[in-house]
Amino acid sequence: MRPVAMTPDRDVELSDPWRAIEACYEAGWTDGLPVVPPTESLVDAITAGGVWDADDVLLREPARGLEVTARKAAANAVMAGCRPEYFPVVGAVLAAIGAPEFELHAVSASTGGAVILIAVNGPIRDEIGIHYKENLFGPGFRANATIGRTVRLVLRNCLAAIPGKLDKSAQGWAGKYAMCFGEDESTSPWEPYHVSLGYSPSQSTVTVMAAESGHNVLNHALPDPEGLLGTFADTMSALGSLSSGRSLVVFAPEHARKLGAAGWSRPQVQEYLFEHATRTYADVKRGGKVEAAGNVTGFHPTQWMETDPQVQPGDNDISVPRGTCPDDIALMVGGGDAGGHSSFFPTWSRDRSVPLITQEILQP
Amino acid sequence: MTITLVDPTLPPAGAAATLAPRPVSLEGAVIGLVSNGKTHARRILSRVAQNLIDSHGARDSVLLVKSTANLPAAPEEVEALAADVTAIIAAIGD
Amino acid sequence: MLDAVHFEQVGVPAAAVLTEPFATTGTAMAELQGFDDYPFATVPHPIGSLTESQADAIADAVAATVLGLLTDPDAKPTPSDRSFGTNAQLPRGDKQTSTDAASSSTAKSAPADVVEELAAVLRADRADLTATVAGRHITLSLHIPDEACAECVLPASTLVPMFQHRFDTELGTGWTITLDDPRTTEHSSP
Repeated sequence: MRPVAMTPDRDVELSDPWRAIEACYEAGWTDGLPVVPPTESLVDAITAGGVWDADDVLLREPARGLEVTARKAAANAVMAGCRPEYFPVVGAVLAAIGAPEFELHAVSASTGGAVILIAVNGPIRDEIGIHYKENLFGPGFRANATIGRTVRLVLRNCLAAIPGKLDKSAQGWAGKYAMCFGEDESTSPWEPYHVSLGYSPSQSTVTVMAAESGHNVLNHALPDPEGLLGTFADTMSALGSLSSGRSLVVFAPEHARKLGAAGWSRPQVQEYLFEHATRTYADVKRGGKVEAAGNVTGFHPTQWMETDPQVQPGDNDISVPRGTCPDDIALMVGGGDAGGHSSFFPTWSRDRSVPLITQEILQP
Repeated sequence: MTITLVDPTLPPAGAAATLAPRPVSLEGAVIGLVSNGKTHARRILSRVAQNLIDSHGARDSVLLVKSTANLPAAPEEVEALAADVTAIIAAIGD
Repeated sequence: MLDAVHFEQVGVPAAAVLTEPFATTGTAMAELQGFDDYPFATVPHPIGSLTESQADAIADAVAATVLGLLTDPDAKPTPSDRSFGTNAQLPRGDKQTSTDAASSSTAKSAPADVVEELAAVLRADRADLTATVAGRHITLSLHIPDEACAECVLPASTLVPMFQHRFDTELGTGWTITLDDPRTTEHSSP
């Protein structure tokens, strides 16, 4: 890792308080929205009495040779509007996206325009006000908005993930401003998502995902699980987002209750979706998702992008699933009590992509 | 009134790096090709290498298809290929 | 780009070939690793949707630049712009200057290289470009066969200034061009 010089703090002569906000714009520090000027006292308050010292490294990005300290992350947290009690969540997210298997360099540079989607489980949700009810992904909730925003500001300001530098997103999507929400654990018919991974209910975690834009899955009429999940499977098999990567389905309470009333377990739902979110191999080829042959012969679920791109007899009889196994489909619950509107998020990009990473939140 | 803002950015710093020495020609050179596995990457790299062999004296080419297409070649991959080649060509773009 | 700089760091000369939209990204990545003004080659974008013959044309067009990057220690990047083609200097001795281009024998080879670069771009849309040279005037002919998407090829009003800029960059100022476009009346450079 190359040594990185710490940038000096910046003195701003203020004739009125609004100058500090404009100074941040002029410095190129914002995401396009106004930021809270990161004064020393505000930044110190973020880390004071917390889990990390100012010089502790919270995120290492080896491809770019950069390390993000707690103080740098705190400066971005102030700008985003975070309160100090949100910072443990920020630190957990940075640790999660810094996991080697998350391939942060590729995720944040790719033309695919991935969002760092953040899902929070455990008691911290109610402790600091992470919202998990109606308007789940929408604006209006400080913890959700500012934690998500902090992560994007860190990527921009500390890792050069900026259009014109290292962010080559063709379009990106609005989740790049902020995409952070809680799971509605009490409404879910299953154990909380993090508990399904082996955490205890008393632990708080973040789960990060390199996510493409979500698909709304609308179904109001069908009461039976097969009918309901058929709509999800159809959405998940869309050619534009079909890949051998992972999926996240966030069931709105209305849908989750129907599945719970029918007694369907989490694994049962995963298996149904995996078996039915499929396209024929012929469709996959017509969609341009099969590239020129290497020396791969036959059909392999994880290598279907590397074989003969020409439609062959029998390709209509081969079924290509989304992902490689039912466990590639993560299920969560959240949103308002009314409305048959759930969401499906595909993982970024055209192939196996990167896994969802869950990280415990350390609190002082 | 003056206030101090903590700079939230992290620009790179450190000593400037220098290019590896160049050979005066590719006579007898072995050309390493670093492929990211994307469409036509191998084809384009191989054809450029063939041009260097046919017209500029290079002797051979060696193809490395990275273990992780989205990230740079692992240090051990770099070390292994560097031991066998005179120069490399890498390609970036979708 | 990281692969190229990593090999430079272990003493192996590297030639990075980037599609044009990634030029700024490549420059930024090299700078992060301490390589300011790292020289590399650019080729037209995209690559993924090209036919094999089109991909071969890209390779053929960039090979000379790759040679220069691997053997010329003073190869310098040209600031990436919106035109097409390679952006590293050719090895010394092969460099064409604007005064050299005034002679007829040199004028026939150097413009042909630029025309081939431009044609490679158009072939991505199944069109093609041929040229005749008289003095310092180049008559370009755009070919759009039936199977090509005529609407996908940029209009002449856009192509002419792009081509002119490319010739100015590669051959020096003083060249004029005319483009015969089957879709419309003839367009000339100002």
